[in-house]
Amino acid sequence: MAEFSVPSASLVETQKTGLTRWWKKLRGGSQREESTLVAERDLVAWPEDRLDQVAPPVDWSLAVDAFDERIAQWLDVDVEDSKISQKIVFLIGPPHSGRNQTLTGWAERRELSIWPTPDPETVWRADSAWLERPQDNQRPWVLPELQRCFFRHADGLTLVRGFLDMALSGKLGRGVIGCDSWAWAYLQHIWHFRQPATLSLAALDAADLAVLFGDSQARDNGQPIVFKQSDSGRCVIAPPSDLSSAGESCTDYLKSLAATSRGNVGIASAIWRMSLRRSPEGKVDEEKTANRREFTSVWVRPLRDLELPEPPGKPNRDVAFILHALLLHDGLSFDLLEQLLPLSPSRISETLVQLESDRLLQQSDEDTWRVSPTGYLYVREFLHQQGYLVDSF
Amino acid sequence: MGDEETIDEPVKDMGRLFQDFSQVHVVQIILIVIVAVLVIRVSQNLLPWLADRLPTRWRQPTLVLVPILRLIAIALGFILIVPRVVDPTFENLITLFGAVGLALGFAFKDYASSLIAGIVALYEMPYRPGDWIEVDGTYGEVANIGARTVDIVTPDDTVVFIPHLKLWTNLIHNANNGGPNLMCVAEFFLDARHDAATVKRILYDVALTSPFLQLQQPIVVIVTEKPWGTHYLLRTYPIERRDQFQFLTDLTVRGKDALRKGGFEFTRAGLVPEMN
Repeated sequence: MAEFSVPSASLVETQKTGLTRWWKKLRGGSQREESTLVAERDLVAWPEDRLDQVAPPVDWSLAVDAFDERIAQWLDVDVEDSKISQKIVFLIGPPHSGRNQTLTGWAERRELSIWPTPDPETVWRADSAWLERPQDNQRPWVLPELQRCFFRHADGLTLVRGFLDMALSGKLGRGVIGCDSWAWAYLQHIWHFRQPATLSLAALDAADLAVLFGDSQARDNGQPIVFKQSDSGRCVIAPPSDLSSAGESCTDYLKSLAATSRGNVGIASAIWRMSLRRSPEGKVDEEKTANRREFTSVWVRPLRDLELPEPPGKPNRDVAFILHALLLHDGLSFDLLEQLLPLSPSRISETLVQLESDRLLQQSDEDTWRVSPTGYLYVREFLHQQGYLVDSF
Repeated sequence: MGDEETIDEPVKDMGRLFQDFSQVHVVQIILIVIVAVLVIRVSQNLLPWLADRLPTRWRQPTLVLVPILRLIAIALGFILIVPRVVDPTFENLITLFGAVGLALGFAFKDYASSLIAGIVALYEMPYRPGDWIEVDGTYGEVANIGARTVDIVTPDDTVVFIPHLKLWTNLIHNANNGGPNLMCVAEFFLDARHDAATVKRILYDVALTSPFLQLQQPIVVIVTEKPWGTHYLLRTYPIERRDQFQFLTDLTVRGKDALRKGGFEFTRAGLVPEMN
């Protein structure tokens, strides 16, 4: 985890983005500047079904492969031979980084038992039955979501303390525990860890993103895709050699995206999908190269022109409370927010609705509110500036 | 005639202190005053506006610039105006400052003392804008440091103007001393017959789970035994200094709730002596 570092953007892009944001902040509004390019104004967003073709959702199996390779050695050690400090491995990752999907996918691949996530009642009652180890004593177990095992409430810490006491004293055998980075930062104050073995998903850089997004080139009905930046027409991801001109160089878009998204694959993917544009009225930019090979042009808006979620003014303390609580628990229901925060139900309700309309929050099917992938960047920066505890990612 | 000359001499000497009025650049003086006032006004409005928009950690240093800029503007204005009014020879300046000093010493002693204390306050910084201070039993947030007074806003939203001269003789209690952290202390009074270790743990968790809490600062529970029972002090820091009273309310409400659920009894009314 100490090796984690956020990718850096190019100096010019950092200056442009930084100055633009500060100017907007000082003006106290979120007015967006019109692009001066005619082509930019003419472009429209992709319909959802076509977007899935040109920028498919992240394939987490790649992360499972990487994790499996990294932890293979630990897995092969016999349970009797492992030291207590090596019995538990933590996988820490920020929101939207695919930590849960990675661990769940890995547990299924290795046929390991998954420790069920406790329901809120179990956490409130600190039900000791939940602490009983699942199934096979010799095989490691996996708990993908440690952040669901506590609430930031005087009655909500007993279960996680009891679990960590038992797990880290070796009583529960060997296991892999997944934990959200925000919850992890908070848990350091609840349970004083003695240098646990921790792993984290590495931050993706421009080259990783090129592989991730460029892989979709063959997926637009079998026709290759060339991603071009809308303000310059230059490529964003290097196209295959037969589709590119000699000596053509790509823009710094992916480098900036890696830095903006803090190397977080889920956030980078969400911003990437948000950036993609096409010509209007269903017209697809199909072009031909000199050797008559056809390809589809997908336009990519520069990051500085994107309207990433941001509230109209400086959020107040109640908003900060709600956002921080949601991040510490990796999402909460309305009922739980009401129990955890010293705010009235109507105040919580109206704030949630407002934040949702500002695109900073999203609600899942289980009535759980979460910070949206594209809103996460603003929320993290805002909470950091206000002096709240933030994660290390 | 000879007597007249003798009487007129000091008047002429005094008159020589000042430059010939026709030579005084009245327009320049007016311009200097306008610019100085403008700088002061703009800094008084712009910097607090800017401070509200900057990250919390930059708020305090930005607000501190207000009185410093005002002092610089006044000093520069004074330095620029004096040579335009007075012929700036050593003797003239000594005479002028001596006369002004004498007048201030007798007529405006306290006023002058406050002005000087205001300058000392800028150097020693016993209080800065944004600090929470107590002077003569009045507690509040420093809203503005004027030339003569420091203006504080009390928790019940009353502005109190305190002359800087209090600095010479009174104790100034500064709760955060220019830093972002301000300690809050919640008090609990329990009947003596209970398990103090458990109460200590409960109160620690009450603080740890408050959304107001600055987690980077320590939480301390202090227990003292009194004739009427057990006195608990829960010392913690809020993220935002202005939230100190809501923070104390939150700690008290949730602390009482947690202790009541744990079956602990509070000391009965009338047994606890009034706390200072």
